[in-house]
Amino acid sequence: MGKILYYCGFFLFIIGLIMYPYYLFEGKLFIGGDDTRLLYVYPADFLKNWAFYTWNSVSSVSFNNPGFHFIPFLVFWSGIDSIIRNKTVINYLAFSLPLIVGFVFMLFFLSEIIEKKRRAEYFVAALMYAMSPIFFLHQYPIFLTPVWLIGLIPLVLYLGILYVKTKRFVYLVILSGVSILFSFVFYTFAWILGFIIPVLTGLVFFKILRIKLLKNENWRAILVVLFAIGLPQLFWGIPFALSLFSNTEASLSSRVFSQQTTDTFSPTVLSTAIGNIFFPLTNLFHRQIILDYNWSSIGSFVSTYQRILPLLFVFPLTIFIALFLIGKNIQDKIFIKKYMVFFVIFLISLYFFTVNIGFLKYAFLYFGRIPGFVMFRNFYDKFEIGYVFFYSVIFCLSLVLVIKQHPRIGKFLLALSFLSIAVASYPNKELINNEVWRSKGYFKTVELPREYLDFVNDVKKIVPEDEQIIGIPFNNAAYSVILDENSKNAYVGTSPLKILINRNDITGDLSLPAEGVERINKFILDRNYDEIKKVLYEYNINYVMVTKNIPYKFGFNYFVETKKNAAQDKAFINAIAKEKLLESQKGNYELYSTFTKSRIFSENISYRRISPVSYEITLIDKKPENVVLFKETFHPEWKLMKGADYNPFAKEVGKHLPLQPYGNKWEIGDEEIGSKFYLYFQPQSYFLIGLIITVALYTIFIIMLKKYKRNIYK
Amino acid sequence: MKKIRAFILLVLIPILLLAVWFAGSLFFNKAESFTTLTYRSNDVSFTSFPNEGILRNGEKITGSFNAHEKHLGTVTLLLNESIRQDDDYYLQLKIRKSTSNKWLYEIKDRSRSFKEMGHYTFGFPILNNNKEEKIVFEITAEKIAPYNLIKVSKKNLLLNTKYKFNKAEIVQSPLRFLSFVYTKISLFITNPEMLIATNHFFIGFALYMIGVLYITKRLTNFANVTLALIALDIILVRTQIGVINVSLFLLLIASVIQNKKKSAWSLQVAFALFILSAVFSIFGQYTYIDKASTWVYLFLIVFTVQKVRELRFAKKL
Repeated sequence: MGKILYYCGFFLFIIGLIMYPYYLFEGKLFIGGDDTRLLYVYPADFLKNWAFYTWNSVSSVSFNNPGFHFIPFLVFWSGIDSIIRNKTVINYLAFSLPLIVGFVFMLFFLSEIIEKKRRAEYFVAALMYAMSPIFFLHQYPIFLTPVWLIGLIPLVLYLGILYVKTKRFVYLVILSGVSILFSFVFYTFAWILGFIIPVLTGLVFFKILRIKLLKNENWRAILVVLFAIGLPQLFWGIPFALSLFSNTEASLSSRVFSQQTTDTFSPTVLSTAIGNIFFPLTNLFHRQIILDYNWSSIGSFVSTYQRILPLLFVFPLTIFIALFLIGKNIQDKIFIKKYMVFFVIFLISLYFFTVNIGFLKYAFLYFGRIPGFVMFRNFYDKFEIGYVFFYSVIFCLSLVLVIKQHPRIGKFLLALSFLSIAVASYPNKELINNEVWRSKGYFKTVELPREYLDFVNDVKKIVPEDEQIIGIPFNNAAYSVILDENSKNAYVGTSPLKILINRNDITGDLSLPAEGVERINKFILDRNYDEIKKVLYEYNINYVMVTKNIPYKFGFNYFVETKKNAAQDKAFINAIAKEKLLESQKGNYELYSTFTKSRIFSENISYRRISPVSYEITLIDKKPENVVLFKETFHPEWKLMKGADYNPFAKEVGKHLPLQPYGNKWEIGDEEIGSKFYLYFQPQSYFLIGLIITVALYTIFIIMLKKYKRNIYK
Repeated sequence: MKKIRAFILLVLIPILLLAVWFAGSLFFNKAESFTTLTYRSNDVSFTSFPNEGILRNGEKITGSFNAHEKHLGTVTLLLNESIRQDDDYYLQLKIRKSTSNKWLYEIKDRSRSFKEMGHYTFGFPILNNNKEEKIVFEITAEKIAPYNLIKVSKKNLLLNTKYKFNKAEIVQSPLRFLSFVYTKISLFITNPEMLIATNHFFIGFALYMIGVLYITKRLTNFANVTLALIALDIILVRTQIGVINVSLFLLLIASVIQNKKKSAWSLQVAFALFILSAVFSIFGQYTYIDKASTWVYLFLIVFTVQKVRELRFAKKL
């Protein structure tokens, strides 16, 4: 009977999680922000327009940013999309999946590491994990790629443990499959390291105390599991790693590991390490960060969480009771050992999630000297998922221990913790479907209006793929604001033009290099229209797209400074735009041509664009000065070769130099008129190299494993 | 001779150090000058008060209270808000004597400019009022954003009233001076905020007493001395000071080794400090939680190392 009830409850809860977004978002799309989340709604477009290339631009000038890691998931999700054929349903499914996978596999993982017959304890601990207020305060509302780790970590660990225990080959195959499907999640390696670092530090701790944790065969099995996960990632890992080595302005590494990022490590840590371990121990996010940085969740924190705080003490209380009981009358030494291992890792992850723990804060600042550690400057974000995971595990182990020793107290704590989780989920809707930052009454869920979608489809017919658009108002980010037709809601995020119609628009300060931003902002404020036209010409911008329905209340001065916004008035549009080419149905969007028509190549070249990474070009005039000018961000690996086709062994033609202020220049010498050239972005070929290496190494790995399995584990 | 020494060590010096605490708190208190008296409790009779205690745009709170002393110069209001920093609003206070219908002072300011921990302190030129004279006030808020909530409670609305005396009046006679000092001390020791604001003057007394207790073997255990020092660090040192923190942690490790303390001891202390943090959180004393919870973590580190060593794991997983 109990078993039937449990399974009924389990399936009802899964159905509840599937339906949850319908309650949270009330039928509107949950899209926007830096990552747009449009990939979950328009996966096929995202795949076609972005994921296949290593040279990419989304509302910014192009740079070397390989997107291959998205391919497997987008292929899979496009298949789901073609079956479901409803944007809202597929959007909501994407939201529910990390929660469901996280909940289900946390439950399975706990049953594997503890013992089978503890269903109620595992249910509550898995619930505590998937429904953690920490995630609802910080991860789910922004829903960036790392949110998938909430599901993926327990899933991978569960499959890994099954393999370590049974050595059955099928688990490795499933693990590799999961690893390939979710390659885009493995791309968020900083968050993965946020999970791994506490584990490794814990292992070092036990090593120092000379305590051996696992049998040698289990260590070897873990190594095999790591290979099964890691090898399938090489198809994108190799081009990505190589892109890190190319130290140019247009490389990803130059953005991630820039001097500016390094220099801001200590100030960022010092200004955000203001929490303490108390609130994380009650399964809440750092109160002081929310208050000091004026997060939109401030109201929920004050009105709900602080009121139910005594109820949330049940989690640390259970752990303390278990710690008091540990070693007393418990014969199961394996259980105690597991408990202590997870407790150590939990303590370490608590430190990394908090940092502000007395003198240990200075140790963290010192870690900033380790190359690459700067990626943890927003530690509370990177270590958060690992922390909640280990907290849930140690809570579950504590609950089991207390129930074993004192069943009555244990069951009371179990019921109380279930109640706490339920009560703490009360403000979830307010937290997820929250207001646009400082917008005074505009919410983030949206229905993209028909007017906008029709308009951008018409834009696609007018604007060629290799020419760019400037979005007005030119704002402080690289954002577009698209107002919902029937409510005050709005899409606020990176411009969706690239994903929807494969056209790039330059919309704000983050779209251009620093030099370009400085100039354009100055000229806008000075109303120096001739100079603005010059900047547009230099950056190959031939169209102006004006959004007219952004209300003043919409956080101006934060979205665009008031002065800068005021300067982008009718006179400004008339001065930089030549002719109105298009107007949307209700007049909220307009497209204009610019006065001076720019070209991606110099006038002496005729060309055919094959893809964003390859062009077939012909020299039609020797002027100016036997050069080829190419208006894309300078990168030394743009390779100009002779001939009409791509030849990987062909020699580079001419001298490749940066064009000031923007672009590439080749001095090609005395070439004949009519000569044909092929321009190719060399790092694109690394994808193929990565793919070949992945298949080859993975095949070798599987064959070796099949052949020498017995010897490996002996 | 022994008795005199004991008297000096156990009575005289502690009294002197306590006197330092009082003197420092009365004469060198940055939060309040010596010539000011702060009264916390105020019996207010309200003539109008908003429905459900929610303050809305333009709505007035009016009431009166009896001045505790002459020379009223400051009133502090306590508002409970769910507000964001950028959502500023205007708060106005009018004040008059009950004997006249003319408002003596009208003070209006942006909420953010004079807010401190939810308290709004209105200062104005000193009122020429008599002791026990009825003072009438009116509070109005303007430009409150529609989604902000400002709650007020009849019980705690008028949190503090301050009365500023001039020096000549206090020292006009020895009796008057003593009477003023007596009032000042009695108000000081019943005002938790003031006690917290001046607790650094207490450090000398506390350290001395720990030393005396250790030397006289009343604190027999080195670990307990460390505990006492950690307690002082939590209660008296308001900010995290790295050097103190490291020194105390090293002292803790040394005392655990020297006194052969078991893991249970560290866990008990960690648990006690956690309960203390919980109590602080319930009473909204968030600055103390920082310190107490830091020590919870450090004690848990010590506990973990002790426990792992005690358990002597042999079997591999």
